[in-house]
Amino acid sequence: MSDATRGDSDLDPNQGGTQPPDSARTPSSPNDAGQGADASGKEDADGDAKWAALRALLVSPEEKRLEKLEQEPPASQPLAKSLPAAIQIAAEEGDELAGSLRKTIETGLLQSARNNPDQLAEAIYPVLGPAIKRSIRATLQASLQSLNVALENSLSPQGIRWRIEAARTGKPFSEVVLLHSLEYRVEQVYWIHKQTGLLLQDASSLTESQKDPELVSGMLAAIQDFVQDSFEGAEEGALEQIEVSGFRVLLAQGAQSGLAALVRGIPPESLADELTETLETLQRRYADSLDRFAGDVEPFVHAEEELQGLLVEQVKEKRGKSRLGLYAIGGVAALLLGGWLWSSIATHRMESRREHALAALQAEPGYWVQGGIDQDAWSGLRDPLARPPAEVVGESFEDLDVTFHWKPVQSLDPEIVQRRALALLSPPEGVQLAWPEPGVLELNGEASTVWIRQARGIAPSLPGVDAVRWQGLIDRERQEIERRVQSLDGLYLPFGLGSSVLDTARPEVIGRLQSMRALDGRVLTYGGVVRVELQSLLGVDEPYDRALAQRRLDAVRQALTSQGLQCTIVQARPVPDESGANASRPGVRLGVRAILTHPTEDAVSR
Amino acid sequence: MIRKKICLLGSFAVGKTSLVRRFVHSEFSDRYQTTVGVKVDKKLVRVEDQDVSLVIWDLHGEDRWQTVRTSYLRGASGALLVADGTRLETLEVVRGLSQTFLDMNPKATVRVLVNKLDLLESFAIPQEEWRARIDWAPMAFTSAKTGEGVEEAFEALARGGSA
Ligand SMILES: Nc1nc2c(ncn2[C@@H]2O[C@H](COP(=O)(O)OP(=O)(O)O)[C@@H](O)[C@H]2O)c(=O)[nH]1
Ligand SMILES: [Mg+2]
Repeated sequence: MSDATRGDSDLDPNQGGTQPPDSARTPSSPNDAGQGADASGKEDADGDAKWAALRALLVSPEEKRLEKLEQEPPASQPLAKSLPAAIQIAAEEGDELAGSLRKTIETGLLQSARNNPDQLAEAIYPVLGPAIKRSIRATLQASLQSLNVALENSLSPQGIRWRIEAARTGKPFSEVVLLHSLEYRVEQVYWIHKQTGLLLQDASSLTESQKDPELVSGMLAAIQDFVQDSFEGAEEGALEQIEVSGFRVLLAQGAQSGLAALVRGIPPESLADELTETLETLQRRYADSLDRFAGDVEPFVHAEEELQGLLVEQVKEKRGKSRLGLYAIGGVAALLLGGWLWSSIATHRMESRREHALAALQAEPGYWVQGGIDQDAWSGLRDPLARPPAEVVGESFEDLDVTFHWKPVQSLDPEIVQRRALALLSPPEGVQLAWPEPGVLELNGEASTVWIRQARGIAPSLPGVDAVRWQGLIDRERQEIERRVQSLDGLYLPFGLGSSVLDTARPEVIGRLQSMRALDGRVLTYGGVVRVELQSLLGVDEPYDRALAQRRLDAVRQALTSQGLQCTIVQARPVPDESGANASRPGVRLGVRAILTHPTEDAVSR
Repeated sequence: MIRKKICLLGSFAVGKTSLVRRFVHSEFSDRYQTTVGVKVDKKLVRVEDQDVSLVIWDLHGEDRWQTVRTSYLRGASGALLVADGTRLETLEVVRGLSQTFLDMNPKATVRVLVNKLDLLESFAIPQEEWRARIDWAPMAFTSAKTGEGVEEAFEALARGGSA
């Protein structure tokens, strides 16, 4: 700082009054001159005074100005005091201050984001995370929701059948209902450290878990990495859900950790929110331990209680139960009534017509009737998919002078089961349903991915369908993608001798890049990612030049990415062909694969 | 309980998977490995009265050049870099991978394994030569076939490095 402040503060400890020549060299006020002399020792005080007088004579005006200038830095202190108030006033008066600060703040933020994106992400995650999650989920699960609705509608009274099934198989009734009503049970929850994929804590609703949670955790982390890599740019929430043979793995991801829930059945949308909420709670509660995490999972043992809270189970039985009661009462009552009725003897012709009608209805699939020839009111159960009663009987009930009370029921008569399958699946042209054995549905033919996905959700839960065979069903889109991948694998992009410039004006290059883009788009739409391996091949007439080979790889990578392709590009180290031989023409060879993330992959493709 | 993530890296067919199989009983199917490109295994070891659970990521190079998905390396506290004693070129790969790995995990421990020690008579260069060339990291000779040196290699990683 300056000599002016030296006397009364220690702003500059390096200088603090120890160097006499300073006071001689620097202009200062008479005051300071005195202090300076004081500090530098008294032996030459007289000389100093003369110097000061001379200096005052020579540079007095400049000295004044300097003094004024020197006063300015301390002025920031009062400024600091008045700044908050000043800002408030400025803010009340208008946007001017905001406008002039905006640029600076924006630059600062940008710089911070560039230097340490993670830090910024962590700071804004609590605000933006849930919102982003929700919007992604809304998009991703639209299809699942519609499936949910479809299932809900198909959940009309099946209670009787479930009771019978429970009795037959010896399973608890609730288990049967769970299996059929496609409600859900969260069986395991894993809390996973994001960076390492290590398990922090888990909770399980099963007495003995077949899967080692540590392995599952690592596996999920790997899948997560894989998908995140495959969809570059999709940082958070790239994957919200994985399906594995009958299970659904719901994922919630935070800045430092993630939660995975292993669910059987179809969970409600709210479960994902609960997952996210629990994750946020855990991340808040264990923030310090997470920051310091180096493999020791001891600090997280108590998180298990939190995770236990997610092990919910929902058996949808409300409706089923009440109706079941009705049926039971109705059934018993009808039997009693029937027994009494049957004991009376039919004599009239009307009675014989009624008898005929009763027999026809009882023989008809989808009907269960109780009534009597001398009864004017009949009652029974009728599947809405059964033929209309008048058609079955051949005359109207009015003609028989009978009123009828139908209760809707889902029948398990094979004929109705088949009719229902047709109605709910509505197979497109090209798909045939076959029933090789009772209760076994076989699907054959070619269909769109969309239809297959829908069918896979519906078919197994159809009442009366015990097994579904998918082997005969071909996913048309998948087949087409596989065909195209095969034809594009090994695609060659030529280069000029010694050149690393990819001539994108060459028709063959244009065409090949276009085919790649088309495939990429197709695969993205289907659900998946194209993986491209680049191999640089030097020409026969070229000497081994690693740098050149590398530049060619870069050029092709550049060409692919600038086309907006979403594929994962694996750029191989530039080496000669495995054989060591050079290619007849210099170029880059593309190894093309499609990794299709179809949730029901194993069964649909062949 | 301490958990550590360990990566196995190296060229095709140097014996990574065999080493893991020797050390733990593998559980996950090969199908999973080829799809995602990594196989996760686990083994509990005891280090100085502490249980350490090693979560082992066996990276399966999908392509001819053994490029690895670098995101799989993230957060590892150690790596076994495996070369094949009978193939000198596998050492160059190991060197490159070690660089990549340490760039990502500067505090981690690496250890080079020259595998297939049971094939000593077909070694590309003599053992001393291997030792001399691998002066940049701790190294050891192993055989997944006989089991020689395998346990020690994993336990050395369990002891060192931070996550
Ligand atoms: N003789 C011998 N063969 C080995 C040894 N380790 C692995 N192999 C063989 O090398 C081949 C490749 O092994 P693998 O573990 O699949 O290699 P990875 O590609 O690195 O996972 C297999 O045929 C193994 O049987 C070893 O220590 N000695
Ligand atoms: Mg392997």
